Amino acid sequence: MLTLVVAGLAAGGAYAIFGVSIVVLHRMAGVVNFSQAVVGAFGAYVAAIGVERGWGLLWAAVAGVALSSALSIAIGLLFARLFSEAGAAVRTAAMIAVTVGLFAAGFRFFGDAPRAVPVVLPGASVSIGGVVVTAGTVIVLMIAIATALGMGWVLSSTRVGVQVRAISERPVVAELLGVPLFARTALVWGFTGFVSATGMLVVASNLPGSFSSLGFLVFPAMAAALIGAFRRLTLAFVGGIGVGVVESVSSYRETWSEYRGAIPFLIAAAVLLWTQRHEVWDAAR
Amino acid sequence: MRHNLRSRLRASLAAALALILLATSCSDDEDSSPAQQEAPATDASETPEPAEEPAEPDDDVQDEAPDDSAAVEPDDVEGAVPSEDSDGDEVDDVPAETTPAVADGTPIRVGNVSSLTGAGLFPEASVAAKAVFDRVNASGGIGGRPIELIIEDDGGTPEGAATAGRKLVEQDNVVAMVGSASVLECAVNSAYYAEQGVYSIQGTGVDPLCFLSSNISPVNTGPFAGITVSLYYASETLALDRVCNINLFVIPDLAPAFDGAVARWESLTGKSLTFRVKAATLEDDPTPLMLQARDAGCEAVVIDGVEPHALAVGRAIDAQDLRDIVWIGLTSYYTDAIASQLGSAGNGLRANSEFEPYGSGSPVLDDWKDLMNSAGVPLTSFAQGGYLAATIFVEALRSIDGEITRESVAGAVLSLEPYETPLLGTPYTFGPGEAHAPNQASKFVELRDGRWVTAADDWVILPG
Repeated sequence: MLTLVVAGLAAGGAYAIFGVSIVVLHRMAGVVNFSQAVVGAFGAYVAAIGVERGWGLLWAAVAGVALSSALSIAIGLLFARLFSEAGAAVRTAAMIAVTVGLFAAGFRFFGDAPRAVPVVLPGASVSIGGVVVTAGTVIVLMIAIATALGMGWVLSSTRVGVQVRAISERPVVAELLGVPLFARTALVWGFTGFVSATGMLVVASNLPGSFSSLGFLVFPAMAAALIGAFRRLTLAFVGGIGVGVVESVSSYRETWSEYRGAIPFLIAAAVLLWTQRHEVWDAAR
Repeated sequence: MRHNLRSRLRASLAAALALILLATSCSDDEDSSPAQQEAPATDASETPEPAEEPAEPDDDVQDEAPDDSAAVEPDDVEGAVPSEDSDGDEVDDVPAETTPAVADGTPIRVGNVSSLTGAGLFPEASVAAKAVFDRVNASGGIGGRPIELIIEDDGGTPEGAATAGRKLVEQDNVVAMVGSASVLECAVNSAYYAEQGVYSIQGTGVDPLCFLSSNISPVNTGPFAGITVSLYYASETLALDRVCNINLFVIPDLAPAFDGAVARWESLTGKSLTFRVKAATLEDDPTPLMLQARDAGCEAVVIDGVEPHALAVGRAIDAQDLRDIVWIGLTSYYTDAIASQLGSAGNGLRANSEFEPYGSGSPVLDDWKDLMNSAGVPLTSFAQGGYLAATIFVEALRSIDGEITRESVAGAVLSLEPYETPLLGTPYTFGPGEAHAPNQASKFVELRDGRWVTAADDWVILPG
């Protein structure tokens, strides 16, 4: 059993990165970013193509991560420009549209045939409980922890965090007060795009998945964000790791694994019920 | 309020744009298929284009790699022109000294339903079959009549397969199906073929009905007999006691056939599996399952899946240091792309080869290699299937006295003598049975330093 727990850490780390990124964007930009995983998938596939074309592992990975960051910044600027004053429902609808568009574009560029995403940092590894943990997994876990703790600190205790929150809540007022709207937006979206692409690169090299199946990794990430109630970064991190581990452990029995897709959401529901148990009806709504 | 309205308008515009994008990407995809179907029957250099993609990355590693530069060995030039020795057995009744007659009679129309777009691609079988027919046509065809292969793409979808089958049978009026390679064509069309009296010499049969139909007889072993023969190889040839099975190719319709394949091995050997596990979805990371197999004490694990699974499995073996176990993949693992992408990290991974391994230097492959190289078809297992199906079909056509019609072709197929070739471990048969699975043998190949090498030169043949 310990074997399976450790084996689930790689996927869990990636889910945690996506989940934490989703929570960060929700708090800073007021958007539920359904495209978190598909943006990362673009980076992973560009890296795969780069390696096929002989760019070398490092440059291919850099190109992939850079593309994901740029794509994420573009989405962020689009939202800052067009939907900064819009309500949550409109933003969500627009986000779904962008996500569907990205899936379509990815399908157009990469097709539906799975591709070999290169292994970043091959060779280096440590062994825990009979399972080899690769360097990639360790890096993903560290990025996830750093993002969760670092962004929490940025949001609550720094000037940049305050500015970004101001932009998300009163964009016009913030701009009048001299907050550099585009620079701050680009910073937040670019950062989440960067960490997502890194997480995707590591997790995709283990998976026999196509572009769309990588993009759909946003579902376990959503479960992680939900566990954090779209507010708490550390809970989202724990949720992401938990979902990855539960997925891995559920392969232990066929009867469990059949329901695997639903398990993260059952956990999320249970966690939400527990964390909000003291809330009165109005507050919890 | 105005603001809100405007952003709503923008949101719906964005949504519409996204939908249009989605629609164009889908329709473009469908559009691309007719271009491949309508490949002109005369131009052999153009058709392999869809086939090149999957084989692309491997060019540099293998010495028998399918790229054109490696292919131009001195004796290959003969392959371009039909000659006495390169033609081998299938056209030996045409005297070699006669100048190739022009086959200008009414074409004999033959159909082929293959997955050329979609999730699982099998582009080589149909172009390989076409190469065989083109060679026959260049030396006079069948009694002056050329063979015209009409290739239809099923897009890997049931609707696509049904449309393709009906178009070929009713509109093009084909006499038979030859060299089809698809994940689901048999399941969709076998009943229809039986109803219409059309027979299919399948190049690559995957779904269970390919091996359970009165009107279809595939040249390949297929995934189910492939599992049985791989288990048999582990327990009997390698004489390992603790044999296990991991099922990654988890499509609900295929589950009973995979269970049946394991049950067949159990009844053949009287042994039982030490451990068996199934993945939850096709996209799962196989690592947790493979670690469970190690913890269960497996000595050999037969593991299925499609080509991307091979990569994930090979990487997990390397990353988790699982080389103490003999890992045996299905024939879908046996591609040059997998060999070059895994490199020496994949050392020790084995797979079954349904025909004489295409990478082996065996002289029995010479005619096939010459023909494929001259037609620009990548040297893969699927190309062997298409080549064999077409070669056997030509043999059946030549046995017909009188007019060549769907009925006379059916008669010829049903009375076909067992076809022996060193490319197959068991003779190919058709005949009037209710089910046909003539290929019950495999050879086994092993990855060594980015190359597949034949692990043992003897066929492993399932008894009974």
